[in-house]
Amino acid sequence: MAVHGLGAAPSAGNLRFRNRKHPTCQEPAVAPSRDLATRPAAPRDRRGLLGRVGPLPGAVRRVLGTSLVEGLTTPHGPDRYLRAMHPLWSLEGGRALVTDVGTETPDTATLTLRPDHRWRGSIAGQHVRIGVDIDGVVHTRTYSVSSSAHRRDGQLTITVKRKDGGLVSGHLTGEVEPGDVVRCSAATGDVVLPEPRPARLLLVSGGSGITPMAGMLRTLADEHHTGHVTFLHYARTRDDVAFAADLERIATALPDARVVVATTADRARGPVTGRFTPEHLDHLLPDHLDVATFACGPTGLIDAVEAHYRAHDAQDTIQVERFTPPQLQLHAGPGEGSVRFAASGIDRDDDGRSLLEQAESEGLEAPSGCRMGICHTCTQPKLAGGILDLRNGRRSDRADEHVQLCVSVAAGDVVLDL
Amino acid sequence: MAATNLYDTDEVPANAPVPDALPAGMTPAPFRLPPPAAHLTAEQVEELGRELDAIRARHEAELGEVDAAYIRRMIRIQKGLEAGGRALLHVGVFPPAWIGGVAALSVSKILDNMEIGHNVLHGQYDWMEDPEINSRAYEWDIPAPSDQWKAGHNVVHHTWTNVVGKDRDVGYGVLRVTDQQPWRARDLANPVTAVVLAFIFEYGIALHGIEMEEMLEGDHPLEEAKPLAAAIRAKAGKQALRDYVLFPVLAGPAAPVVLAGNVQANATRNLWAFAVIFCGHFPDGVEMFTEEDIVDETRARWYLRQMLGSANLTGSPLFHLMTGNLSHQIEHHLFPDLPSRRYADIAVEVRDLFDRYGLEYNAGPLSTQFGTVIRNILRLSLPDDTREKAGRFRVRQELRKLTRPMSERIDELAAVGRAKRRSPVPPTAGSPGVG
Repeated sequence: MAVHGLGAAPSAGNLRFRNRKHPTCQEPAVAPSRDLATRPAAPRDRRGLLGRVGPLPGAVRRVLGTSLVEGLTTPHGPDRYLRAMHPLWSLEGGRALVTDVGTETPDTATLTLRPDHRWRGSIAGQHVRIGVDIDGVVHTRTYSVSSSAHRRDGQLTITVKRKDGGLVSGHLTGEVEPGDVVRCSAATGDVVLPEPRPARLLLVSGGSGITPMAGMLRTLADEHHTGHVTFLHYARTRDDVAFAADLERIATALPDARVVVATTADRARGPVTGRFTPEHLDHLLPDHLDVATFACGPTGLIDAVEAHYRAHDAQDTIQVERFTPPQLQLHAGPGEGSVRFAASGIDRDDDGRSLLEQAESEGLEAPSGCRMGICHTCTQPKLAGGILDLRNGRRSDRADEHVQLCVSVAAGDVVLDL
Repeated sequence: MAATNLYDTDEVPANAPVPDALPAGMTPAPFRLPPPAAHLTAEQVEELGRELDAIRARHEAELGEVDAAYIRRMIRIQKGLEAGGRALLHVGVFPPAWIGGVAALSVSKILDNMEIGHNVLHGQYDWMEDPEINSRAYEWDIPAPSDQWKAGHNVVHHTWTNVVGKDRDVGYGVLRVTDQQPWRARDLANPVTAVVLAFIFEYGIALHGIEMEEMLEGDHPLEEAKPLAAAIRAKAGKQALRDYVLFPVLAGPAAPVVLAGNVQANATRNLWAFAVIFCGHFPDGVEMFTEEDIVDETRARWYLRQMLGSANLTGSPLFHLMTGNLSHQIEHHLFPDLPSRRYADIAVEVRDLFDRYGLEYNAGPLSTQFGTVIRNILRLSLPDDTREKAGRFRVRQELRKLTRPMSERIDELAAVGRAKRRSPVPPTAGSPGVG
C-alpha cells in the first residue's frame, strides 16, 4: 500500500497523512467517514407530531398495499394520505432522511442518508438522483454513491462539492441539516466495478470525480480485495481532496493499493504533478493500457484520458463517466442554436419558431390545445438547454424542467425529451 | 406602473363612452367590440392586454415557497377532513356524529374538487416540478377522468370562453342560458333539467366530457366515445364502490348510516359546485360572443373577452376558499394557471383596470348572482318573444306537438265527462222537496 501526494512532504516516496490521529483509522470498514461527535447527536425534529416515527415497516406496507385499501382510497391511492401524515411514509418510496452532514473540505459536504424501501442497495460506481425543494421548486441532481456497497446499516453517503452559483449544491452543502427529508431514487448506472473483480485496477479521477472512486475503494476494502489498485486523483491543491483521511484507511485495508494525488495548482511534490498527461500513467503504471481502467471527472480530463486509450486502440479497457454534460450554448437568441428531440433522435437547427411548431414540422406526436399558453396540453419535459417564454420574455436554462412548447422558443441549444 | 389613465384627461371625462371623441392618433377598432367595451379603441385594448401581461409576469416572478406550502397544506387539510369525516360517519348512529361526518366529508370533497383538483389540473402548480402535484399526473374525486376533463375544460372552455357554438360550457349542451342560443321546445324543460343536473353534477361533468349531448343529437359518432365512456365507467365505478359499498360494508350494522352519509356528502358537493360554477358565466351582465367576434382575435382581445364573459362572487376568505377561488372567476379566466391563492390580490389590480378602462366589474354576493342565474334559466325556458302574440302562439304550437298524445286522451276523457253531464239524472221521488 502506498499513498502519494497527500502528505506535507512525502519522504522517501512514502506516505504522510494530513491527520495521523484521525479516528476513522481504527474504525471498522463500514464506519462513516467523519467524526460524528462534532454533529448534534439526535436529528433535529422538523416534522412535527410524527417526526420521530421512522419509515413504515414492511408489514404495514403490505397491508396498505392490498386492493381493499386501494379501493378505499381511490382515486388518490394510499400514498397521498400517507405523505400528508409523514414525509417518509409511502408505498412508492423515494425519500431519504438526512442523518448526518459532514464537512470534507471547506466547500464539500458528505451527507449520510437513510433511504426508504425504494433503495435496494448499490453496486460500486453507481449514482442516485437526489431531489430537494428550493423555494417551492423540486430540483433534482445526480450524485455518485460515495459509501461502500457493503454498508450494512441501510444508509448511504453522497458527497457534494459546492459550485459557484450552484443552486442545489449550495443547498446541500449549506442548508440541509440532519432531520431533513430529501427525494432519493434507487441506485442506477452502468459504470460499475465488474464481477469478478479484476486482478489489476486503475482508477483516475479529477475534482469531485473522486466520489464514485471513493465508493469503489471502500467497497473493495470491505471485500478485503487483494488485487492491485492504482488510484490517481487530480485536485487543485491538497486541501481540495475530499476523503483525504479516509483514503489513508482504505490504503491500509488494501494490501496492494497505491493512492496518488496530483495537484494542479500548487504543484506539490509527488510522483506526478500538474494536469493530466499520458506520461503520468506511463510513469505510475507502465502497462496501464492492459489494466481495467475507470475514469471520472471533468470533461477536459476525461476527454484526455479517453483519447489516450483510444489512440492506442485500448478503448475496451476503459470506462468513463463525465461530470459535466456536453456543453450547450445557453445565451444565444432564437434562431441561433439547435433543437434536439432526444427521444426521437432528431436534431435540427432552430428556426426561431415555437418549439411546438418545430416538433410538428418534424412530424412528432406532440399534443397541443389552446396554442396560447393557458391549457398546458403541450407541456413536455426539457432535459437541458435554454428556452425563452414568449409571454414574459423570461429565460430558463435549468436542467430537467417541463416547458409549454407553444409559448417557448429556443434560446441557444435545447434538448427536449420528445 | 407604466399604465396611464386613458380617460383622465381634460377632453375626455372618466369612464365616458367616447366612440366619437377618440384621442388624437387613435383609430376606432377595426373589429366589433362587445357593447360594454364599444368605447375602447384597438390601441386601448392592446394597452389593456399589456397591463394584464405585466400583472401576470409580476406574479409569475413571485411564485415560490409560499405557494408550494399552501397547496401542500390544502392537500393535508383535505386528507384530514376526509379521514375524520369517514371516521365520524362510522359512529354515525349518534346524530351529532353523523352531521359532523357529513359536514367534514362534504367539505373535503369540495376542497378536493375545487381548490385542489381543479386548480392543480389547470397547471397552477406545474412550476413546482413536483411529480405528484402537477396537471399531468393529478387525479381527483370526481367521475370524469382528469385527461378528459382537461381537454374539455382547459382547452375548449378556457380558449373559447362564452363563444356560442364553440364553448361547450355555454349551457353544457342541455340548458339554454343566453338569448344567443336559439329557443327550442326542449328548453321548456330548462328548470327541471337544471335541478336534475345540480344533483348529479359530477356525472354531468363526466358525460359532458365525452360530448354526450352531441351524440344524442347525432352530431358525433358513438364509436369515438366508447373508449372515453369505458374510462369514465371504470373511474366512476371505483368511486361508487368506495362510497356506496366498501365503506358502508366496513361499518357493519351501521352500513345504512354510512351509506346515507356518503350519498349526502356527494349531493352537497354537487349542489355547491353547481351553484358556484353557474355563477361564473350565467348571471346577468355576462357577455356572450359569436364566432365572428373572435376572428383574428389578439391576446389582448382574448383577455377582454375573459373580463366581460365572467362574473365574480363576493364573500369572506373562507367563502373564497370553499369556492376553490372560482369566486374570482374573472381573475381565474385571465390567468387560469396562476395559483388560486393569488386571485384575491390580483383582483385588486384587475378591478383597477376595469375602472380605468370604463368597464363594469361583474361581482356580487352568491344570493344575488345565483338569483339572476335562476331567473335566467326560468326566463330562457320560453322564447324571447313570448310577450307578443306570435311568440305565445309558437309556445302553444310546440307544446301541442309535445303533448298531443296526452291531450288527445284528455280530450277523450273530457268528452266522456261532458256527455255524462248532459244526460241529467232524473230526480228521485224521495228527494227533499223545496219548501
